[in-house]
Amino acid sequence: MKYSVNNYVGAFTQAIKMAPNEATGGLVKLLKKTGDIKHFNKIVEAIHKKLVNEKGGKWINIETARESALKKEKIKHNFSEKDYIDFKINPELVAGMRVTVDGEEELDNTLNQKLKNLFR
Amino acid sequence: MSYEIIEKLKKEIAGYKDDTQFEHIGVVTEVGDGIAKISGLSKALSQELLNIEAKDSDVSAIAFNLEESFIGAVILGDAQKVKVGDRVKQTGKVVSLKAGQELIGRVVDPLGNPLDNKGVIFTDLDLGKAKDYPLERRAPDVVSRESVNTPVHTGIKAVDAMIPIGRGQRELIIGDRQTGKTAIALDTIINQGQDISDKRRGMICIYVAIGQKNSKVAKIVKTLEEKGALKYTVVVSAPASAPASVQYLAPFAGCAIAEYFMDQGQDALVVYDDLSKHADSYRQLSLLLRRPPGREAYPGDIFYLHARLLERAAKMDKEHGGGSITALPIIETQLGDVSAYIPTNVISITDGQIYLEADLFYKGLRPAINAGLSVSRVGSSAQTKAMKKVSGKLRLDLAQFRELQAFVQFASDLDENTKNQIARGQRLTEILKQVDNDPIPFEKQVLTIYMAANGYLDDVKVNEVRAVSDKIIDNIEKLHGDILKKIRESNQVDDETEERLKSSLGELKGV
Repeated sequence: MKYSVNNYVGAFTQAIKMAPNEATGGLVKLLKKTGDIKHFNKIVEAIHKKLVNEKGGKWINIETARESALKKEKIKHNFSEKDYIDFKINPELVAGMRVTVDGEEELDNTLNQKLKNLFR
Repeated sequence: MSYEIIEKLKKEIAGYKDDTQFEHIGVVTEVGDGIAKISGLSKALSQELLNIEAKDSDVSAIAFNLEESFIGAVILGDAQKVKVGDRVKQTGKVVSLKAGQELIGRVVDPLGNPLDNKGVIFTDLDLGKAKDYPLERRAPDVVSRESVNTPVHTGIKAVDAMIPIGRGQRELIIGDRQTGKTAIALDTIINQGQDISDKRRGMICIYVAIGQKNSKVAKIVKTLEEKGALKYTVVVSAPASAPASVQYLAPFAGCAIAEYFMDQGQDALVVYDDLSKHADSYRQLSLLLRRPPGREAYPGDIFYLHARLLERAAKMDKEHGGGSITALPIIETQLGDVSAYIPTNVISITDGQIYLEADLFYKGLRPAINAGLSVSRVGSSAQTKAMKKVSGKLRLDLAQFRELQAFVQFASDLDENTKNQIARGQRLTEILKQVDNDPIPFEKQVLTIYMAANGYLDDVKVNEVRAVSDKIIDNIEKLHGDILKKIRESNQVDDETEERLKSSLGELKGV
């Protein structure tokens, strides 16, 4: 990458305040110019995270082993409306749920982790 | 037996506690060349041990670079196992190893794992006695130290007489490749087995091999074993095939082991062979971590790296156990260039240096010590009275000899006095030669130097000096062994001993 994700995020979040209508198009053009368009999804996710955090919310990742185990609405009730909740399916977890907050803190209640702890 | 196994498993299962709680985590975002970039873990500490949860097993890493949005970590285990997306957890610990008396006689890696196929180092019973020693630790403060007062006898005449080393000193061994640097360190280790008296207890030696060939390390271990030196030596090996991170940790691991023995009130001797390669491995890590390069592409804190390592060598006072760590770092120069970056750094950190010269080596003067450029800044206060008495004259005579030798090349006609001085100098130079792996006990060194400096060998042909002096010492040992014993025990040559020595030398000269 020519510039780090953080640089793009910082620049975009400032630019969007100055010119809300042009910022998104400008970002795409810039990414094409610098050749970092292949990291578009990563950058957009980082921008999204930053915007959520700026509004006082948290970026929550919830991983479960199977779709059926998810009771999305029930889980959403436990968080603030400002929070963004991202649900993912990860069969490697075997059973249970893993919650990650802002990519920094994690509550791992999966069977995979319990088995790992047992044999550690 | 099966009952025992079932009971053990039952205990494990019954004792399992499911205490899931929030943990700080990070995710590997980039990995390559033994370095991992980790996002998250904003509360990680510098030098903290991290646990990367790779697919098959956990891999350890050390947090090196703490940046705004990521951590640069050095992977300690198999870097191939680590993949982008792996989760990383803090351990709250710094890198440490288990230290204990059981390490003696073993070859270990910088994390304390055995490399010598002699089985586990600490059994379950020993584990309780073993202590965790962090690889990075603050050096002892000034108040808890005392000045150097006990000698470390290397068994090498030129060193013990002219560049004495004391317990707690840091003496650099510097020279080009193949000039006998390791040989001096090994002789010193071997000599510790025979240099024990009422006033000098034995030393525990730690040999740290950094970036050496495995074959060389194996040879060194074999030599130590053959000479009986392995029973008081620990070898820490980070061979050339080991990752740079492991090589970087090796001297710190050696120092941590030495600190264990120092804290037990024992004297330890650590040989860092060599710090040039250590600096290279640190440069490699720093460049991979994208730290800004400085002179010769070394990072800016390379001086601090070696200073904080060597500052841990100390002589503790009685209130703090009275133990000591003597450090013998080795530096390899390129074409005798001592003014390069790393050599000048380490010269300025240490308390003196033994400078080995390739020219002297090829002339057959071995050990190839350049007495003019070698110094010991604190060792003379630890030198025994006996050695001080005989070596004072030796230094002066050799200095005069070197001066005259240079002058004589232009003069054809010499007066008798000059001729005598040159003859004496040649004989003194000759007796300072010795083979490797055969250190000479201190009392025999005193005797040899006494003979040469007082003219007892003046009428012996130069090429026969060593053989004759060896023969005389053999005879004195057989016929007047008590003289040697007295020098060894009292550490001095008093008037009575000197008189007896003179008469027995006179006797033997007649024979």
